[in-house]
Amino acid sequence: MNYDHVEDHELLYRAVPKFPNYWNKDRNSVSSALFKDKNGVSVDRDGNRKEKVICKQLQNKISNSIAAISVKTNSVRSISALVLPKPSNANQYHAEIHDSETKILLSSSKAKRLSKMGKLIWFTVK
Amino acid sequence: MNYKSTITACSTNTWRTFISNVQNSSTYPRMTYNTEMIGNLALLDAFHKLKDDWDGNDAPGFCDKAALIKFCKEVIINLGYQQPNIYPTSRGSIQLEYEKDNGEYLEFEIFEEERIIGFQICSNQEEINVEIRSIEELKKKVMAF
Repeated sequence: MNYDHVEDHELLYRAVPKFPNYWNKDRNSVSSALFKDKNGVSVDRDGNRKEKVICKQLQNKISNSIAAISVKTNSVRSISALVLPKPSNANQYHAEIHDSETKILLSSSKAKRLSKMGKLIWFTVK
Repeated sequence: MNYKSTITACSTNTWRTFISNVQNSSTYPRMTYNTEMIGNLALLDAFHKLKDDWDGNDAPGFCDKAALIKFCKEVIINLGYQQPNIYPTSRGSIQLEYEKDNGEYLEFEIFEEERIIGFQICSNQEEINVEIRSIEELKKKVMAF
């Protein structure tokens, strides 16, 4: 895994909590509110791990989570948002989605587009 | 609607107490409360209990945002039967959403100090960002949607 660059083909995962409920079953998508984060949208990159392993680690990290939304890096880049690797001691797979080079907070437009692109993966019960 | 998740999150007694409190409250104006409105008011009370790091990604909590929650309740009550889906964000705001089957979309993000940012996707996919200056203006946008 390249720690300086997230590859276009990599999937990015964001945990979906049990509460508040971001899932809109009528629209079959999550609310764009899930992607509005003051620190940039915190995600885990796949880093060549299996989806099962990624979900397990997300579930362990965020105990309130019941699912994850996955989105491909090149899809995020297609809406002119930035995907930045942000590995930490606690999580080498950590990355952030920023609005642009100069703006961290995603615009409503980009957050809405991300919410439509995401694929929901339910976690299995612990 | 999201109020279903609130019902799941709250015990039955908590839910019953909430409805009873709303119906007997002098805080809220005397008016008809529809189920979706009561659900959204209950959700706002549940959001108010969210503590720092409620999303596992260092989101600020809503425990100390009483004024924001109160203002959002005022908005919800003013919207009457046209209730939105509501969500908290990890940047300390509350988001109200309406969406039609044809893709038209209307969103309001409410921040502290009664600041409201509106975002709309029209039927021709044109996107509009606008600052909303009052609850009345917000309501007009919803009525026109």
